[in-house]
Amino acid sequence: MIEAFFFNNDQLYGCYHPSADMGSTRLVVICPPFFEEYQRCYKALVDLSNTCAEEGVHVLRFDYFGTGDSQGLLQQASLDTWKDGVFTAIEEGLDLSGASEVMLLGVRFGATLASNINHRRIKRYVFWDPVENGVAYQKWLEKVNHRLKRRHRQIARQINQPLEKIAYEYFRLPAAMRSDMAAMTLIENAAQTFVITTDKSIYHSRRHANCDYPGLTYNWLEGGLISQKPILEALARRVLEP
Amino acid sequence: MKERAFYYGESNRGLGTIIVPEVTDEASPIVVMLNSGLLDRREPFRLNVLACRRLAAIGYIGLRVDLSGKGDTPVRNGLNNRESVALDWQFIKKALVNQFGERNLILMGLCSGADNGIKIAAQDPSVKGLILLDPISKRDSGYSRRAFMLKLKNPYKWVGFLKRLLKRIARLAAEDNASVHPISLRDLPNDLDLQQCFRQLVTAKGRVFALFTSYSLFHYNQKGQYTRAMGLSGMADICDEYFWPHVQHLYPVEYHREQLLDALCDWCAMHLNRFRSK
Repeated sequence: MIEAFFFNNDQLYGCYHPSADMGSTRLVVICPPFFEEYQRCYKALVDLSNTCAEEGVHVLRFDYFGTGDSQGLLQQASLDTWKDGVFTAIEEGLDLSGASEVMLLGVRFGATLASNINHRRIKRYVFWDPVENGVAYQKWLEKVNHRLKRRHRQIARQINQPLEKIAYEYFRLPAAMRSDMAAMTLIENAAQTFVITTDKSIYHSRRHANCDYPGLTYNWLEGGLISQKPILEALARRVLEP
Repeated sequence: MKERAFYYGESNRGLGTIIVPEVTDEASPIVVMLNSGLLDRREPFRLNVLACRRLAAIGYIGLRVDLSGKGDTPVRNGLNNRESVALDWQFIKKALVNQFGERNLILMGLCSGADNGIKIAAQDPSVKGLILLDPISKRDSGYSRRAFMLKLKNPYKWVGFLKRLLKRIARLAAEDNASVHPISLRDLPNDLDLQQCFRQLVTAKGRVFALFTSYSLFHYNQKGQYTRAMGLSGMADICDEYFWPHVQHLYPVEYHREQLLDALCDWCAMHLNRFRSK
């Protein structure tokens, strides 16, 4: 059963999946992606967490401040509060589970954020389609917003009305967050990090032993919910390996 | 305001999040937000989270909940959608009554969430209000004429028509007839559900908030059509219709979400006393 709760003075929301092996010393803390990407892979992360817990690893999922069920608005958040949130979630997960070692599982920009977290109990990082750096991510967000405006232009034409003069943005990001984001890069320690990518070109360009391509390409820019089994299996395999 | 996890069902398998206002009494109504399609209880774009918090600030208890197979709640095997939703609702209702006693309930849902809301309300007289975002509407007698006139007067439609015609000619042989309209994937309320639901609400002097976006254009194209096409005496008095054809179905633009939240909160504030009365 999932234990859902608020922590960090009720500011952050978390879901704890206790391991079927109560004596397990391993804890996975999931750093989810942001914005539309989160709603698309939420169910996949729930399923992955359930699988890992059944196989003997404690899992803690949580929402960053200003996102998901956590308190606050995105406009009140900053990269520092998000990094603090990851750190607090690790501490909370360790307290709950009694585990001694932590794996951070980061998705998209959540992986970029996770790679910048130093905690003495972190032993490994697993990244799912990580964003290489904040500049690339902002470009990606611009593409997403551009697509949004294009879609609304189509709608306006369909109903024979002028396009509304508004900001076509999924979420308005504070200026400080934009600049902090741009400065952030993915930090990889080859000995500790494993990457699952659905981008074949990244897989081929890396040529590392620590990168896996689950056999399908996923377009994060468009499409519906993500629940493809090969991706989840690849992630579970890496999380569960001793 | 206090927000906490909400569990329901066998072995507390179902999960949601509930928010209780600072000041509450035995009459405070509860708004229950149902999942939209396959999305989890917070979405789309955190709309349900923000709606719950804004409604709690004006005196509503707000619950966003994952039905079976959505978000954090595991799927129920062996049941169809209608059966699964009905069983979930029994458990949700039981958990709410255990925690807060009998209260007036308002259901909110977008798309298939609206469909489920109507089906639940048809069976449960404690539902006194519905907030429906892109519910399915019957077409009234003027729908086709209005749709035709809109196309006729729209230069983009003419250009589009010619483009489509040329494309169609080019690929006639390979045309894909297997494409599926998204509406066919929804488990829509049937006529009996609709009649029962709205008749009950008319009798109980309930209220309905129904908002239609661009997604509904293929079945709804004029404010007032929803009530008119239902043809139910008294429905016009309880139903407030909104028609926002320039807005996308899931409110991906933050500006539109804010507009929706404002409209929703104004409506809920206006009807708070009605929903508080037994």
